[in-house]
Formats: sequence, C-alpha cells, structure tokens
Amino acid sequence: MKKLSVYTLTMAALGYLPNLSAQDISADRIYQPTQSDIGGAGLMQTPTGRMNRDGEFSVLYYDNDEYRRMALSLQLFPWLESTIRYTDVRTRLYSDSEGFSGDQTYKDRGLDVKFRLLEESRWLPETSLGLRDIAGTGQFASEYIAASKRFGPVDVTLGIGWGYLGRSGNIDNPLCDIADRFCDRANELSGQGGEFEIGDWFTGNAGLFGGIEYQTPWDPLIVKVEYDANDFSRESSRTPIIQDSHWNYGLHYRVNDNVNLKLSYERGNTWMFGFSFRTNFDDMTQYKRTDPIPAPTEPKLTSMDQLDTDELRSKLRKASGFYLKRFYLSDNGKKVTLVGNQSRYRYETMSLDRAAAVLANYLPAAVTQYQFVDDVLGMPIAQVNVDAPTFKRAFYRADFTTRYKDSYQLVNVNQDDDDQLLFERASELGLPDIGFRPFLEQSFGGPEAFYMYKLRMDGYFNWVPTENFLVNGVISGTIVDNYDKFNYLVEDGEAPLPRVRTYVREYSTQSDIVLTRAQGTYVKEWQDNLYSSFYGGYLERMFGGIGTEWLYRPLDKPWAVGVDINYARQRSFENHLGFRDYDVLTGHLTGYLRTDYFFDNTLLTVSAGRFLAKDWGVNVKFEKKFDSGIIVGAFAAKTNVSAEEFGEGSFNKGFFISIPFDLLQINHSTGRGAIGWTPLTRDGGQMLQRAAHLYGITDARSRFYNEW
Amino acid sequence: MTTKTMHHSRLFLPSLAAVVLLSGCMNRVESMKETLAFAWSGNQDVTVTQERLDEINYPMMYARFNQQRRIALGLGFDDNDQYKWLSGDQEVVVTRHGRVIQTQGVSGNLNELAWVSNLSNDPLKCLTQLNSQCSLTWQAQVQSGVAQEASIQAITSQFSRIGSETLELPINRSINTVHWREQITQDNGTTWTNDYWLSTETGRVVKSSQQLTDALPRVVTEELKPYKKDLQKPSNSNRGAN
Amino acid sequence: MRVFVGLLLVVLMSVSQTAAAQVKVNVYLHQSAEQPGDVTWQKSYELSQPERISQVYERILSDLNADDLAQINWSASRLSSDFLQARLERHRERMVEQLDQLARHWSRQDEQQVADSIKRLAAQVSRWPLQATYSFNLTPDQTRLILQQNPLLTRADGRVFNWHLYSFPHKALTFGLPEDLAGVDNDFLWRVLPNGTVAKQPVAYYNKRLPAACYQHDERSPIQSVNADQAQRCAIKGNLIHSVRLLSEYWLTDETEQLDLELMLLAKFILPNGGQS
Repeated sequence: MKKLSVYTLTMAALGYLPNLSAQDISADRIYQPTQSDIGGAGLMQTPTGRMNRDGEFSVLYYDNDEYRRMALSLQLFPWLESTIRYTDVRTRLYSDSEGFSGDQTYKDRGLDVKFRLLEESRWLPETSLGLRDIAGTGQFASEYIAASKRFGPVDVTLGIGWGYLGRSGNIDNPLCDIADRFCDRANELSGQGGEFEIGDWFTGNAGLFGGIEYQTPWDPLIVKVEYDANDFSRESSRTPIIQDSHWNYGLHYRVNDNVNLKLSYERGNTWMFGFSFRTNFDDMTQYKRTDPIPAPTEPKLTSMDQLDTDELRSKLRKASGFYLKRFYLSDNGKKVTLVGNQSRYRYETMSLDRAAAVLANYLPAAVTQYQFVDDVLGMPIAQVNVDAPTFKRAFYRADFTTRYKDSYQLVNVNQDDDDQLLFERASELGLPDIGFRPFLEQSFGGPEAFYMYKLRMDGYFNWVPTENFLVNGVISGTIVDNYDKFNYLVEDGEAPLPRVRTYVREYSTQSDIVLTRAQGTYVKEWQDNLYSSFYGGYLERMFGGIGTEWLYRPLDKPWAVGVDINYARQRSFENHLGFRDYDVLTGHLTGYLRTDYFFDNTLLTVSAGRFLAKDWGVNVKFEKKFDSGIIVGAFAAKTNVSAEEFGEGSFNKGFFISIPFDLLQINHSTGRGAIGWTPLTRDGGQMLQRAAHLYGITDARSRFYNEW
Repeated sequence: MTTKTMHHSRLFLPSLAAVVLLSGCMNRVESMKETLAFAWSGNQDVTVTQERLDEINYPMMYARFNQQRRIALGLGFDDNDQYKWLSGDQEVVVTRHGRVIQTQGVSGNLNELAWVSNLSNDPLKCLTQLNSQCSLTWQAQVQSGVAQEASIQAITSQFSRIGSETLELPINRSINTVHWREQITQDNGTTWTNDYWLSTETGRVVKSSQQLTDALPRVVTEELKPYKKDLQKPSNSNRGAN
Repeated sequence: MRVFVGLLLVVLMSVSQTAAAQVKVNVYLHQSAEQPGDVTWQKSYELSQPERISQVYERILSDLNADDLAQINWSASRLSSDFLQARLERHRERMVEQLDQLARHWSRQDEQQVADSIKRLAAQVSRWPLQATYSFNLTPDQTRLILQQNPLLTRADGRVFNWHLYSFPHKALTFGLPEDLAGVDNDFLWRVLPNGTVAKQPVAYYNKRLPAACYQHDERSPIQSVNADQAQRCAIKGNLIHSVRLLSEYWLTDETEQLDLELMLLAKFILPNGGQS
C-alpha cells in the first residue's frame, strides 16, 4: 500500500492524478496493446506482434513465488519498443560469497528490443521481431517473431520463439535446415554478461506459442489466454518450476487511463499478480499560465529622441522575459539591435512574439528591423532578425495569412558599421544565483543491494562575476542513503584498473556535507562558429583539475564538432579539499549530429579519446526528444579494457530521462531535471563530469534542449 | 591535518547552508503554490459582490449547468434580440427572450446546444411582451452537440401559469414575478418541466430553470444586473401577437 | 469593442499600403438541407476602406431580419477570396491530372477495374462543389472578442471575398467511391470535422475502435499540403461535416503515396450539405 501511494504521488506530480472511477477509460485506449508479465506489449509469458504508439512509457511490477519483476518499457519510435527489466530471483542468493552481497537475492538485468516488420492490414497481421534479454546475463535470453491479427474484440497472436521462449522445442528449429550452426545453442554464458551473444541468436530449441486477448464488452476488462512454449526445464531460480500445463489464463483490468492491474493463473498451478502505470511522453502536458501577447496599440514614440531605455527594459522584461544588456540603433534609425537573453520560455518564439510586440507598441513606425542577439555569458550566440512590417501584419491581423514566424530569421551575429550604442547595462558585480534542489543519485541492481540510493540536498551557486566568466559551486548534504553498503571487492587482491569511480563508499561515508563542485569557467567566442572555454577547480566529486574545451558549431546546421583536454587529479576522500596521488590526462574528440533525418528529434554524440582510468575508447550517446520535451537517452562506452577487467556488465552504459521543469509546474521554465540509471558503476569507460559544456551553452545555434 | 579540515568545514558549511535556505527555491515554491491554487479555485461557485456589481457597467447573470459550479456571465452583444452572454473563460451563452438558444465552449464535457428552430413562435417571445393573448403551445427542433451531425430532436412545449410570486434574487433583490411552467415532451416520449419567472412590471425573464432535450444539461439562470433595454415597459401593443 | 477595433485601423493605415485599395464582399445565405444551395438572401458590400470580419458581420446584422439571423449555422459558414478559390481550383486540376495518370498506370498493368474506379473518382473530383475557406468554425462572437480571429479583408488576400452562410440543420453526406468498387479503401473512411480537421478513421472489422489519424486545418495556410507524418491521434465523437471514401493505399504508387491526403485537401472544402454554389 505504501508503495502505491508513492507512485500515486509521482503520477500526480507528473500531472496524472489517477481518477479512481473504473468507467473513465478513454475511447482510444480500449485497443491499446497491454503489457506482458515480462514487460513490453504481450500476453503473459509471451509477446505479441503489437507496438504501442510512440512515446508510450510503462512501469510494470509482477510477482510470483520465484520471481519478482520490474520493467520499464518505452516505445521509442513507432517501429521500436525497448524494455529494461530487473528480475529478482527470490530463491537464489546474489553470489556465493556472503561477505560480498549479504543475504540479497539474485538479481538479473535484461534489455529487450522489439522491431516492427509489418503493420496490420486487412489480410496481414502486425508482425514484429524481438530480442529478449540482450546484453544482460542472458538467463532469459530469447528471440522471437510474433504476429497479431485483430478480429473485432479478439486479438489473435501466433509466434515462434528461440531460447527461453522456445525451450520446450515443440517444433524443429526451421533455421536448422538452413545452417547447422542454428541447431544447437551454447548452454553457458561467457564472462560477465552485458555482451551481445549474437552467435546464439535463433539457435537451439524452437517453439510455437500464441494466444488471444479478448476485449470484453465491459471496457476496463480484458481476458487473456496463451499457450507458452517454455517448459521451465532450465530455470534461473535453481529450484524446479513445475509446469502442469502450457496454458496460462489472465485478467487485465484498466483502473483508469494510467493504472492497470493484472492477475493470472499460470502453468496450471500458480497465481500471479502485477500492476503497471503508463503515460505517454508525446502527449504529457501541463496547464500553463501564459501571459498573453500584449495587445496592439499606437507606437508610444514618434521619434527615437523620446526613448526611455529604463521603461523599454522593464516592459520587455515583464512581457517577454528578455533581459536587455545593450541596445543599439543603426541604419539611420531603421534598425535596432537588442543584446541580451531570455530564460523564461522553453519555446524561444514565445519570448520573441512578446518582445517584438512590445517593440511594435513602443518604437516609432520608422524602425523596420528588430535584431535580437542571444547573449550567453557574454558570448553572442545567434541573432534573430525581425522584419517589423511583416511582424505588424500578423500582430494587427492585417490579413489572413501572415504569422509572426514569417517575420523571424535566424542569422549569424553581425555588427553594423554605424551602430550607435543607446544603452548598456552597467557592468556591476552581479549577485550569484543561489538555490537549493534535491538530488537523487541511484543505481539499480548492484550486487550489494538491489537499489542503491543517496538522496541529497544540493545548495548550488552560479555566479557571473564578469562577462565571460562563470563560477559553479555545489555543496551537497546527504539526507539519506545506503551507500555504505557499496562493497567493491577486488578479486586477487589487485584492481585491474585504477579505481576512478569505485571509491563510492569512501566518498559517501567521508562526511554528510561535501563540496561537490567549485569550478571556474572562462568562455570565449573566436569568430562566428568557434567557441572555447577554459576551466579549473574541483570539477566534480571525485576529480579536480584544469582543462579546455573547443567547439566548432555552424549556425542552424545539424552537426558540430568539439574537443576537450583535461588534466584531472583524483580528489581525496579523507579530507574535503585535498587530492590523492592518481592523476590523468583525459580528453575527447566529440562529434554531435542531429539525426532528425532518420529519426525525428534525435541527437547522436560520439566521443573518442582517453577516459579517466587511462583507457582509450569511444563513448556513444543517443538522445531522443519527445513532443512533451522529455528526452530519453542512452550511452555506452567501449574502451580497450577487456570485459574481464571491467567486471560485471562488461562495459560502461546507462540510461537517462531529462524532464523539462515546464512539465511539472504551472509557470514556464527553460530548466530541466534528469533522472539517471546506471546499472553498475565500474572504473572503465568513465568520463569527467565537469560543468558548463559548450554544446549546451550554445544551444541557440541549432536548438535541441530548448525549442525554437 | 585531516581532522582539522573536517572540523572546520562542519562548522562552516551548515551555516552557509542556512543562509542559502532562506533565499533559495522561492520561485519554485511559488510556482507550486500557484499550481495548486489554480486547481482549487477551478471548482468554486463564482460569487459577484455588490461592490463589484456597482463598478460593472454591463448586464450580468449567473448560470449553472447541471450540478456544476455556478458561473457569472456578462452581456457582450445584443444582436437583434439575441443576447450573447460571455464568461471569463470564453464560454458563450446565447439567450432570446429569456430562452437559452445556444451555448459555445461550456466547460465540463457537456453537450452543447447548437440550434433551436421556430423561435419566432416561442410563447416566451409573446409572454415577455406582457401580452395577454399568447399562444401557449410551441413545437421546435433542437440540435444538440457541437456541430453539424449531432442529434436533432423534435419537442413540443406547453406553457401554464403557476401564479404570482415574490422572488429573492442574488444580492438581496426582491422582485414581483409571474411564474410560468413549461411542460416539454420530446419525440421519444420523455417529458419534464421548465420554470420561468417573468417580472410583473417589465415581462423580462429574471430567473429560469430550463432544459430543451434529454441530451442537454439543465441550465439555471438568475439575473444579477438587468439590461436597460429590458427595463422599458413594453408598449402593450400587439407586437407579440403576430 | 468597436472603439478598440477603430484604433487599430488608424495604426494599420500607416502600416499596410495594399490595405487602402477597395475590396468587395458578397454575402450569401443558403437555405437548409431540403433545398441545398438555394440562396435566399444575398448582399454585396463595396468596402472603400478595409474592414474586419466583425465589421462586415455588423453590416449583416443591420440588413438581415432577426428570425433568419437566429437560424444561421455560423460554424458552417465559409469565407474565402477570389485568390484562394483560384488556388483551390489549380489544386483540383493537379489532382484530376494525377488521378488520370494513376488510372493509366493501372490500366497498363491490366488492372482495368481499378483503373475504372480511379477514373470515376477523377470525374467526381472535377465535379465536387468546392468552396475554399480560410477558417472553419467562424463564429462572429469569437471574431469580436479576439483580434487574432478577426482579420482585415484586404487586397493582400483578394479583390472579392465571398461569405457563404448556411441555415440549420445540416446533414452529413458521404462522397467519393461506393464501397463495393475495386481499389476502394473499405478499412478507412476519411472524415471532415467541423473545425476543418481531416481525419482518417479506421472502420474495418479489425481496426474500428482504434484512434483516427487527424490533420488539422491551418487558417493561415488553408490549402497547404500536409505530410502524413504530421498526423495526430484523435477520437471522433460523431460530429462531422461529411465523409469521403477514397482509394486503398495498396493502389497508390510511390509518386502518388499521399494522394488520398491531397484529395482530402480538396474534399474538406466541399460545400456543407453538398450544395451547389
């Protein structure tokens, strides 16, 4: 019950307070594919050929005597479903060494992907190919092709599975006829898990499975029946699982649009229970209180001589959030240039619409061009030229077709020869931006405890003492954690890699209040497309040092390229400000590519170079932004450290979700908060976690994190 | 050395944290408070005070759809006797001679009233003229739903006079009225009654409880501030008779 | 309200040169479903100064009797210009041409029945009673309240504006091909919703409770082509202007992949009640 209320709170925070009356199921949710017991669209033990709508996100919990499962499933693209799953094997200990993992039961991590091959049509079923438990420890590894066809309220699925799904071998592996290598499947997994055992795919026993999903006339209720081709003969539970029947029966009950309950009777002898929560990253919205665009009036000024910059500044600030730093007049009074920035709206045009409206209502009609220069840390990043007569046509609704954006043009920053500076904000020593935010560090499925967490309160402080110079500070106070359980054991007495990340326990038990970061950064723009930064200090919790980053980023292009070089030294966990002996020269050459051409709203970042443990390799990061602004990303680093040296997991990888604050509150905001999942923290493939990356600072050159 | 540093920081850091706490996070908390305040005020009945009403220079009325919250509407336009009443949330209620003949954008997932036919023979048109020779039966087609293909129902209406009543209107106004009851029978056989209270002096509808088809919500209206045009006593000519 | 609009006009004079030239507005009132297309009242206004929609509406108020006025289904009214109508006719020509090409293609592939269906559709398309409009759901109350919904009628958009008004009630018809013809898509029916949204609604045994794919009307670019990727999921609650049955995707070639969607760009402008203009 307690668990449920925590979830309810989370859902409420996301704007989805469940309404507990059973009849409130939206019409378009009725035929939505349901989750299997394993995670991902399916029946109970077996998958279907169905795909959800893109952006669909489900959290599933399922329970029986041997296994407890938790799965996160996300429809990344209309043709790709991805599922991360943790299975708690209740009948087995994590390891044979009690000193290492205590009485914790065995946990298995798995990643599933499912690709759509065919959409449903009158004659053809929706058909998908899936891979279960890839890159995990492979306990439940299976491959399948499943096809689903709907007949009115009945959805019929037939599939063929290999591996765990087809263990009963109720048919001969059809691929065995093609090549001998498909006839047998390797029994044991090599190494530490986390690797793609491509050689095993579609090999060994194969089985036919299938079932039906019946939407009852009562909208919330669905009945499922399936035939499972697994015979549970080799089971991860290490206890015999008795199968009295291959037939499983289940009920799926939609409490409301976001909460589903599941009950099933499986193998002819076992009851199972589960629930799932769903939302969709594409349509999550939050009511916004938005100041309207100012109503049109006669321009207040008839000549620029009457200009009152204080009045103009405060009007701009109030209506659009634009913070004016410098104001120029040029081209015989026809152009004005406004240097500054806004951080009120996630959509830049929302601020532009309002700022241009203020200018249209204020400046003399003789001014025909408004130029907004986006200034970040004293660097002019990009410029938007607003053609005033066009803007006014839309503003006054002087015709049917002109819109505000017709008057906007994104250009490189240019300086007019006859620029006449009318106003410059006095360069005073600004006050630091100080605040507090809670921060949750977490890690799932580690050997020591399934869930390792640290809830801390970060006091942060961002200060721009002079133009181009930024100081970031973070002081963290631990509220509650279980990091003292972190128990990295070095086999054979000596660590194969320098311990750059595995002193977690030492760091976290050092003190409840620590200086997490104190970094000074100097930024400089060299010409239109080239930016650089120089920084030093306590760059992150575990390393301090100095470094420089350079970024070449052309305007409004899908690509950018950057390089960073850092001298980093490991921070002490015995005193607050000291250092340890370990130091490293680390840095990467990084390419950024907007892959929108292939996948809508995506960013690929590839960094090649030397990592913290002096290992060489490549880190690949892929980010997908959904319509709501939520970004889901994954990264993986493969370096010249062997899987054995790396330890469990084989290579460094993780997932993260970045949520615009905007979605959680009624006011607009450009801020984002992130939740990360790193399955395991080991020493290989680790990058420096410094602040103030240039790609983020220069977002206005081709917006990804905020919207145009 | 180590212990000294730690000692120092343990003293120093919490005090800094306390300072930061005071100034920090205000914006976010304010945002949350406003988010909640918004959700809360969304369900309250609207009440207009005497002071507010005095400042307002346009006619007003209250309306309540089914059991939802009461909303206040101001008269925005008078388009040839079609009164367009507007709320702060851009809801529009159109009345003609006291009968609600159209709604636009009414909140709460209710069916909208799109169209009522044969309005020129509506008994209310005659009764509000204080004419003594009114036909008390009426037939009409009523379209519910937002737009075109929504359902159309035929109704018959029969008016009867209940009697004179002194009515208490909001903000302590008391007014002499004639209470008329309208029996509506829909073509599917369902039947129910509507009530109208017409000012004895001017004939205008000052309060009503009306529903035209079973697919539509019941709407209760109450006059808050009368429309000047309606306050003129009708010249008891026989405008209503033809 | 009027004071406010007047002030804007002053502003505009200095802004828009083209605004000064004269435009003509024709207003037509069409009678209800029994006699589709019958014009029972019409009036032309020569505007020497540009006026907004709400001002033309005020003129109609003073010219039209109160009982006729009360019967108008404002949300079904259509307001267009000669420029816009000409663009729509050019799009119609292109579509008829594409349909003819597609028919010839299947004819060459010995799919004569399908080719015949396509020819039949082409003939229908060239006869559809089309009336372009900038906005669907044009209600005078909204134009008077919201400046952004109350544009000026100026030479920038046309010399002659036609405003067609329709009386209640409205009857939704189905256009396009009959169900039993070769090449016809019986799995999906295209719908035009009151706000101008075009929806592809699943209607077959296997998909009929699935959500429809919707394409919104944009009053600032009423005849702009849309892309199938821009579809949004939507539920259709039974309110619609009319339905259209088109060709199955199976018979669309790579060059005509979006033909149905492009045809709907025409079909959404079929006059309410299918009346003749």
